[in-house]
Amino acid sequence: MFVFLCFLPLLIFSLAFLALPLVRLVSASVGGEQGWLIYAEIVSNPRYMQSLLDTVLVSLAVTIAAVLIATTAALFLTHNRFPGRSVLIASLTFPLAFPGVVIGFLIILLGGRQGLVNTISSNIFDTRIVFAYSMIGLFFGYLYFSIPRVLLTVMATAEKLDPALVEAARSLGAAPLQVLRDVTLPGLAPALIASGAIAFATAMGAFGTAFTLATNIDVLPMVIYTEFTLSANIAMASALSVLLGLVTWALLMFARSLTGTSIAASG
Amino acid sequence: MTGTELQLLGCAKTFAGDTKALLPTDLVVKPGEILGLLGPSGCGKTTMLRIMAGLETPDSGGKILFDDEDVTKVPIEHRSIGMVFQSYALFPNMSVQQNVGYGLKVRGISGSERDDRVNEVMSFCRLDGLADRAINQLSGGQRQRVALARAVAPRPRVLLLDEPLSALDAALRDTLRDELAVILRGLSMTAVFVTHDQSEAMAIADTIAVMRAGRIEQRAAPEVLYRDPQTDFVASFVGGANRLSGRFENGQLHLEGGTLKTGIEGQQPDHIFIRQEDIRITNPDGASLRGKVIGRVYLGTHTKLTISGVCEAPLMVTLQGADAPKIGDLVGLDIPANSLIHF
Repeated sequence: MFVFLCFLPLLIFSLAFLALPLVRLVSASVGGEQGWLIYAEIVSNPRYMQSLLDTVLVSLAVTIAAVLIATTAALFLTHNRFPGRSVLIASLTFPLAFPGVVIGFLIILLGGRQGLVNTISSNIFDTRIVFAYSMIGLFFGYLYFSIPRVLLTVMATAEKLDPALVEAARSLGAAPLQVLRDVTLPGLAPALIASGAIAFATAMGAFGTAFTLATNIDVLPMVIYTEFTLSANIAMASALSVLLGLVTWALLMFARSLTGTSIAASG
Repeated sequence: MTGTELQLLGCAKTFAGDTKALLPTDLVVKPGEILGLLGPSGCGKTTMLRIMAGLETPDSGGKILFDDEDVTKVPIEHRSIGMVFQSYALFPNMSVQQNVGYGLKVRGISGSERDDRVNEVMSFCRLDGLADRAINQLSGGQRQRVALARAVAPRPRVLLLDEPLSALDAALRDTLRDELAVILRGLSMTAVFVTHDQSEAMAIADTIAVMRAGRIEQRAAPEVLYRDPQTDFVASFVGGANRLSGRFENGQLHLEGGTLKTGIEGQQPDHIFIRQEDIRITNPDGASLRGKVIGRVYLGTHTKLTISGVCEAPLMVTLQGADAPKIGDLVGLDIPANSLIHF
């Protein structure tokens, strides 16, 4: 009885805020004239499928880049103490506080038509470089807010790794890269998987940045917004939302099972 | 004896904030010798071990020699040492066999040569049948032997052990201590180990360097250290001898609990000690030295008594057998003059 009472808040929360809206979303998606066939329509529509593919690709690229950059930075920050270190960490995690719109704005300031990069390149090399309004701009925007998420998780784990493990590998003759491959990265693996999954899921669903940069960007959240507000096609917007959720979930499960087996095999 | 001679010349270590962890120290470990660095925490013994390993660099002027080679600037990965860590630091993502073979793998030794070496070392360290086990499936004693096997598999010039037994249960420690002593002796490799436990040091080491406050107080074989300590710290830290402090007059020591004939001629020595097992309990009537039992711990093979009223600090006495006096009893004490340690 007591256990059930402890379980109750979770049950209520899951039902009210997770299960019910999802059920509602699915039922809204099949509430149109074509019913369940709406999903067939999505699959056969090249524009929807292309935008899904683009969304997955940009999210994957962001995840990989964020994990690479943040892991390098986290390892450096964990092993080195220098003046201004805490200020640097604070400023690295600063983007967490920004909404997507602000990040989009920052990307425009950097890579827009009047942006810093274009001004420099036009004046010095007489070439125009504008990347803000494309997938490249989106990539940088997502990367900007993914890095702090990965950085904080990896740093927390790196600080808990037993320094004697690295010393032991070195005492056995391992060169720095061998230590990284055989000791440090396996030790960080759980954090890399967890933070990579968060970075990926966040990028899949991010909207504000894409909305600010607009024009040439057709990621799935943008398509959903367009269907919902401009076409008032609620069924299609709902169906695309369900698809976005399912694909993200399936890819994360797949990644987890891959890494799970590889860890078990090496252990 | 085979092995490498290890020498420290004027090695000191000052940490940030001007903390002197190790004062300038010279030390020679002969080929094949097992040296124990013994001392309380913060005495500099671990710092000295880490300097030997290459995990710390000595202050400028200090030198480390392996035979005639100056390795002071050689980083740990090229120094060819084997190290057993306090926490064992076994790689959790590798099996027992992979752990033991790791030093050979990174040196590029592969195939049958590696397998043979790994099998040889594993059977020497009594790890047969555990090759494919994961680290978290091992007992404390097995972990310790894996750590040792991993350290010696690449045939290092010097083996360094940092508190190799402190991570184990007290019950297990005595057995594994004797086992470790046998294995280390069988390796006939120059070895240095750090410990804060004097019985551990005595069981394993050929010679012991007793350290305090960043310097070596005395370096000698265990029996010499026990029988002939050169400083008061060594006398009380190794074997827990009792300090007898009182007024010295004509070869007699006047204590709170009576008078003791010391047989010492001439000047008063700086320190007079008596070992716990050298004190005999007698009838208090007519005894020249008396005290009162305030503590009694029965330990099977012997009984430890704490006796007050003899001198400033309570006197610790170890008696064989169980027929020792009870708490509160008044006892006489016979302290043979030839058992006194004085310097």
